[in-house]
Amino acid sequence: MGDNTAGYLFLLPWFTGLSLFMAGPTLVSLYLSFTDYNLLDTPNWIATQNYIKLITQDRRYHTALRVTLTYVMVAAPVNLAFALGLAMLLNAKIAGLSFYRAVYYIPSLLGGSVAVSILWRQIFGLGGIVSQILALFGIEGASWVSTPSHALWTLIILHVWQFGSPMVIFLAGLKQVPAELYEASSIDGAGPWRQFWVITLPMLTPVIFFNLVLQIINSFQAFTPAFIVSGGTGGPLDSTLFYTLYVYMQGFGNFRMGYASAMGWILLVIIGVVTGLAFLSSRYWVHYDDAK
Amino acid sequence: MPDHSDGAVRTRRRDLLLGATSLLGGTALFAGGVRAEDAKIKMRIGWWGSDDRHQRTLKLIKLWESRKPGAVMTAEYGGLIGYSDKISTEFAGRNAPDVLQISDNRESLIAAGRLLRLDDYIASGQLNLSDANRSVLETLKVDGKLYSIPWGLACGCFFLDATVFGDLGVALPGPNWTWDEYAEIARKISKAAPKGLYGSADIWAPAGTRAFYPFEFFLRQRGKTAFTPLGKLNFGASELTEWFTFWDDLRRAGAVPPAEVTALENGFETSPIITGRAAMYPINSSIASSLQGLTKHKLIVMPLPHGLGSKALPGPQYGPFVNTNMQIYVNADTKYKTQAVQFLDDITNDPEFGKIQLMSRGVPLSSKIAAMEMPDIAPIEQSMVDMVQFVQTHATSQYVAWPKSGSQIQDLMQRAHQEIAFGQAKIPNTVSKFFDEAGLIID
Repeated sequence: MGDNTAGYLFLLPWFTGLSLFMAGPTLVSLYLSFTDYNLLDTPNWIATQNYIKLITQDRRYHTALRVTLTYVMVAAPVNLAFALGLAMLLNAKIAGLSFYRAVYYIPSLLGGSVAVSILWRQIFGLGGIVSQILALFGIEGASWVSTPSHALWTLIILHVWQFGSPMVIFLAGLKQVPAELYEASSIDGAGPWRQFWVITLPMLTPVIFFNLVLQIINSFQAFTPAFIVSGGTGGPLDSTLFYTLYVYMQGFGNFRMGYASAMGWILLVIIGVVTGLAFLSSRYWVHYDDAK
Repeated sequence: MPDHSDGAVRTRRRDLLLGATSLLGGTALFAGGVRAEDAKIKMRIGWWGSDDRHQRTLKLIKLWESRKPGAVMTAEYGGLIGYSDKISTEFAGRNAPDVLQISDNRESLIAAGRLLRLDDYIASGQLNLSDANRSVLETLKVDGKLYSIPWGLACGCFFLDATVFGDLGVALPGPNWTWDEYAEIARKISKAAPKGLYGSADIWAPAGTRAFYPFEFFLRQRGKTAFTPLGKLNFGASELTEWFTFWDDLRRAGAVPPAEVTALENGFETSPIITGRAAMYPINSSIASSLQGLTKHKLIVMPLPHGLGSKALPGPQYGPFVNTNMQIYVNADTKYKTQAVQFLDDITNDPEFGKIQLMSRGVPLSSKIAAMEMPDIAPIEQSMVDMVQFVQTHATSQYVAWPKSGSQIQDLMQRAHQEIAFGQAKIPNTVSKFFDEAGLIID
């Protein structure tokens, strides 16, 4: 231990934070998920009743699951495709590149904020910019944020728009691809399209995988956009009822904290399983240089 | 949001303190000065509302502090969305404000003993309610005990855009209007108005508490209440079907806007009567001053229609009652019970307080204070006073307080309305689903 004492000492603040503010509450919430805790009274043990009710009876919970899964499955990959495309463009050798990089990163700085969510209501609302532009082409716009069939898609667009951090990571990945691979392949007559599929993409798979895992976890936990755009209701008609929003509504709106804790733990398991699947699948499509 | 305001209040308090102490220094014989027990008072107060209400309440606090040199009352305020969640969290952490308004879930807080019972203070005269309307106080009682007093009387009502009525040549109704008349006026306006302007806003709204109280008014027409004293639903599928059908017909006739227009409302600031999409708007009358402040059009207040002699939604009794939503409570955990109750007494009976707050939360509870304010109030407030008086004189007394699950049933009602409005389900399906889900919530 002797040599490491200093190291452990330096770790102490972080470790204290982790156990006090993360591990502690997390474990307590596991206990609470088996109780009828209502924020105000002493919790009573009710075994697995919360879980049973969630899985077998609560239709809104099932809606929340469906909404969130749709969001994750669409928003995460589209976001990554978008980020990769822009990273490739910004990897070209053109003037003023660092300026463009900064500009494209800005949405990610604003991304989850309340202000942008309000802006979104304006853009996709009745008579908003989108409707006005469509009107130029003779298409009659609608109020996208307040129609059950479209509201979720405006949030997906909001998520895709925040492509900054994966873009930066992709850029770093692109820089790592050895230039001689491109030179060699172009001598062999490969065009840019073929180069993308056989060089860039395979070489990038570790970075894609890393980004994918981050994106999946991130979008499962999305909260602010839905809360602000729907005014805290998950509406219209529960079409933007994100999992985390429903947890919040049950816990703090309806005082059903035990129930909300159970939801939190199911979410943890879901995220764990999905991430685990991503790791399992990675054996078949992620190429690491050193593995060869 | 509230953090900034806190800072502002504190600074002003300090200025005031400085001013007060220097004044006292000059007049050494002035009795009292900074009394030791006052200087230790550090209270917090919470409310929601719009800017008009915030400004007037901040002035009230300043007056209260100036009377107790050294005492501090910190304000925590903001809009309605998120207010209830914040207060719940604070109650869970046992650090809720000492004096506060509660927008949702008061029933849970009362059941858990977290709100101060006021009956003893009323009996001892510390809280003087002798000029208050007794029947309104009755409706606030839970198991015969009083935990709050109205910080202004109000009830569910319709705001009417008199300017639009005038422009379109549609005659304004009187306070004694029926559901038939309401529906006819809504249809007439939609017909006469340019595209995009509807007769009335719909009865549901995406956020807020709109849908359930009007329905309860309708139930009262038949001598029923929303809940039984044991907290079960006190109505059946037939009443709910009738209610949904009435509104669905209006929607299909274009008398109220389609669902995607209604769903855009995000608080009364963006309500259809403000954005110019409807000439009538149902909500609680307590926002009268704030709502009028948002439009140049002349607004007036009408009670909700009734069913006496009406074909639509008929009923032998008068439905509306004063269901005031602006109530003030004392946190049972407060260290300053006496001072908190005294604050309630001040805002109810003290003319100086009355002069400042006027009718920013509805008609004053004390009839004396209300009469005193009459010369100072705006036309919209006058209209609100008339409406509340009309309802008070016509209302029947029966009322059963909501159970703990009341707020959730109200949410359920909102979603049921939306389901029909967006055409996602037929009324009979929505009705049976409503009772299914209500069953899950209530047991």
